Amino acid sequence: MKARLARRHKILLPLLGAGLLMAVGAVTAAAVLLSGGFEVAATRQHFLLTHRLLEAGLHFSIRTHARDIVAPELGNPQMVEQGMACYRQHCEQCHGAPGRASVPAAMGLLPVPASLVQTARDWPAEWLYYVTREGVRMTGMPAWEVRLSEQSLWDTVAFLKVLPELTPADYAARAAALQGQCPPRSDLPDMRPDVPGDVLLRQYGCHACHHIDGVTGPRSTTGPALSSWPRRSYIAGTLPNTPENLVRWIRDPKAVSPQTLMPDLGVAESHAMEMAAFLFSQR
Amino acid sequence: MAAAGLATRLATHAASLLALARLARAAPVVTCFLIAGCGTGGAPDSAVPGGSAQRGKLALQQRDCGVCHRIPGIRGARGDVGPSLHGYAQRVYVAGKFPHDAAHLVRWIRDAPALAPRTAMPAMGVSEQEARDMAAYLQGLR
Repeated sequence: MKARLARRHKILLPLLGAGLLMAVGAVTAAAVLLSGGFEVAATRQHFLLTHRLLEAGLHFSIRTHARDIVAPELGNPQMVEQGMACYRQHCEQCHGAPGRASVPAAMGLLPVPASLVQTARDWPAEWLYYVTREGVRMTGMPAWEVRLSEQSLWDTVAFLKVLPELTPADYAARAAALQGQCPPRSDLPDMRPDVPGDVLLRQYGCHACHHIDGVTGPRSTTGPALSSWPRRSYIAGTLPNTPENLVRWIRDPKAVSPQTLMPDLGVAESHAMEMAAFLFSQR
Repeated sequence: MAAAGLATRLATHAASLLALARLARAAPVVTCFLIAGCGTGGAPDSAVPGGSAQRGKLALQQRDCGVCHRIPGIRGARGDVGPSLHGYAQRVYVAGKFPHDAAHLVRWIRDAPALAPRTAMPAMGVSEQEARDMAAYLQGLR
């Protein structure tokens, strides 16, 4: 009897201790958070340990999630040139290039945008593709999958793989000789149709202004809340609320309501249709 | 029998979970008050000159605004023709078109088509005073 009790204590006490420790931790964390003692300023750097831990997390996460991706042949010079057009248009601003600084807005970012020369040398193409396509949360790296076609994504990776070999003079010469542009996604036939509406709403930043049921975001009241959408009678107080009209509104708000504060976000038609489908699936 | 018991237990758990969730939502506010000094920002001062929220409530009821809008505190105001006016004080814009201040809101209530010809909201034919009262009530909805 006594032995059994002792054995039970042997399990219970450490459990209790662990619980207590967790409770103390939670209370401390809450106190730090709510007291305002934690500084969110980007001028304060991470602890070295925090930085290393986050880096390790990034590394392992990418390794796991990019494991099923298979890169196509990337040596084609045409691909590299197309990729450079995309790099110049969308990447250089934050990541810089050989002999070129990033724009001022990107310099003070925390974490600082990676020098892709090194990343491109160290990482396999599949990883570069994965991060370019999906973005990295809380770093400022956006997901390009809704803005670049599959082809453009791989073109960009092909160029990244060449990037470490370029001197500033090479880069400038190639930039000057560039012919094509990075085609915007909406013009392309290989648009991935399987990006769900709620992801698209987030990828176009709709939740910056609208509270949207089913989308986690700030409690913004800049635009009206998009809740119980099918119950609505009108879009923008003007158009009868049908999916077709909603697509029209999303793609060109000013044509529907000239005074509206809602901007034209350059939403591709198939994307607007997915968004409308999502909003109409609300209850 | 056991199934019924389980269902009741689940229901009770769900209820307490809901209560917890509500508490959790209120917690930051409560804590803020406790710790003090963490202003929540919130809407700018939204007092409508000469408006009375009390009279506004009555006016909103009498003018049947609830036929088209959901309005907290107004009996039977469950319309879905126009947008819900829930938490109106927090809105940044009037009708998504104009800065949310007393002047714009009052003008919008009185004659919306004069401001935005394509709007489905009709000119309500309410007096300046009534509109001010209504605006005062709406700007009290947090």
